[in-house]
Amino acid sequence: MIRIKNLKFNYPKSRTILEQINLELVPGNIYGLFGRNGEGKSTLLKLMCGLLFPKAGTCHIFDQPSAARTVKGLQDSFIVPEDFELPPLQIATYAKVNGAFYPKFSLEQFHHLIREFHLDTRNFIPTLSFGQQKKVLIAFAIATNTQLLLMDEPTNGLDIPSKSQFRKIIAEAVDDGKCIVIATHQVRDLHSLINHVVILDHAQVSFNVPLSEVSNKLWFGKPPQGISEPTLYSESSFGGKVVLARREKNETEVDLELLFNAVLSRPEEIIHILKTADHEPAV
Amino acid sequence: MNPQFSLQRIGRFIYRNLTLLKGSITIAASVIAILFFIGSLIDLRGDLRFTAEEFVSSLRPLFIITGILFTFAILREAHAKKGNHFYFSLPISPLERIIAIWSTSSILFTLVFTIFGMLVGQFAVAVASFFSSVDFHLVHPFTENYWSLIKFYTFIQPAFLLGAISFQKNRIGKTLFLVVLAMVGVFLFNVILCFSFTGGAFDLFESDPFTTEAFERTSIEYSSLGSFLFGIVLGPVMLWACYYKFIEKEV
Repeated sequence: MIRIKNLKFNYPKSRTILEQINLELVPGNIYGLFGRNGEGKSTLLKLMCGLLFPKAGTCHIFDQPSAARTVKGLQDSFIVPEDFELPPLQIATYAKVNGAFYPKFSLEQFHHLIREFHLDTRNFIPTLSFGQQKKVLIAFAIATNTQLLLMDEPTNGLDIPSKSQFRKIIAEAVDDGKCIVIATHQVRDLHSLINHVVILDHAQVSFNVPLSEVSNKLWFGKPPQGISEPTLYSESSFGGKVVLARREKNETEVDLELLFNAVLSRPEEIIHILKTADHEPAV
Repeated sequence: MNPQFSLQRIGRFIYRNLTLLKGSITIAASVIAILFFIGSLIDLRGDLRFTAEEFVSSLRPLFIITGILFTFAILREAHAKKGNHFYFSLPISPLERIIAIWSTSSILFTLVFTIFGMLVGQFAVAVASFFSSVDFHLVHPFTENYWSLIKFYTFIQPAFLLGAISFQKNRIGKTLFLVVLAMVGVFLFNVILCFSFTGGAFDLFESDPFTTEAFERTSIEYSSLGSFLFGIVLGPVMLWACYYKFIEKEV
């Protein structure tokens, strides 16, 4: 669905934000795109949907260069930016004038999602809070039923109940034909949702692994009593959680925050463990 | 059907743009109605008739100014930092985009503005005939001056369209500045040409050597090929440049 090869990008008169990015995103997955501030997560999403053009390398979406912004490509992709402004219209009018451009847009689904978010299609958009406007945009994005859905910090601005609603709605929306990419810092909001982790560090993809593989090879939790093996990463606080090679231990739920910190502090070791076959001793 | 071109999508984009600008259009229409109504009443003094010539002279400044402002308004979303993500990721090709924008701000605008002007002018005549000795008569703008106005607007509007898509900030000011610069350039070119052909005899025309009379003569004596090339530069070439601006535009 998305193929990125040796992509390089920098804004005018600015340092290189993305360097030698190689990535392949396939349908049926919800990708979590993580990285420190300024690592280029939002930029990468914009490059994927053709809103920015690569300085070098290629970015293909549905086998077409994303920068070509073909109608077919745009009909099957949608981006929810972190910061946005919706026009001064009623929610229903907004859906009517914009939904017509997406062949698979479902007005019925949009109305259903708007109700799920406790909004009314008769609401005038400028009177809504930022969080409510975000719900309108998320509902619209899902109702477009595009194959590719890119979301930049989708839970920012959402209240606590809305975050779980968001998870539920996304989980319902995903199917084998869809690919969802969520760039976020709010890892706790999405831990149950994503099934593939991509981490950007130092302008490159430093980690690109399915979550199933992570939980198969790594162990997360409070260190067991009398542990002798070296920890891959530990939280500095007393009694904090650790990341260990799983080996014979029981499978644990992946702690995305811990994984992110572990990858940033010891990327080579983490990658090595993940590449090591189950029967081989980890370093 | 070519997936990159669809008349239906163009229609949808025109409808979308007009819906988004509904508030601004309503306010502008109210202001224009009041101004044109007052102008029409003033024109009815004296001969108690609102002639087609008077109609066009009242319409001209409002038509040009509103047309240019509308051209910039229709592209406002393309420069909105928080809104242009959606604008440029909307599934519509650059060609469809430019056709939709141009036909809205040029053809549709001219049509609607003319009808609107006729209705307001007719209303002014009706009001005047009710309260004064003005005889009720029909108003229309269809004179040679009207068609000249339409032709002028049709050819200069794409230049403003290009300015509206090219500049991020102070778009109207920068476009006007460039238009003035271009006019100064043409003026200097005329001076150089005149100097080369006449050896410095700047009194080629009896009055106002380089401006009014020269332009009047140009409009009369311009060759068909010259008019065609001038029209090409101001019209289709500007639209072509707009098309490439849309292709190259990043957020």
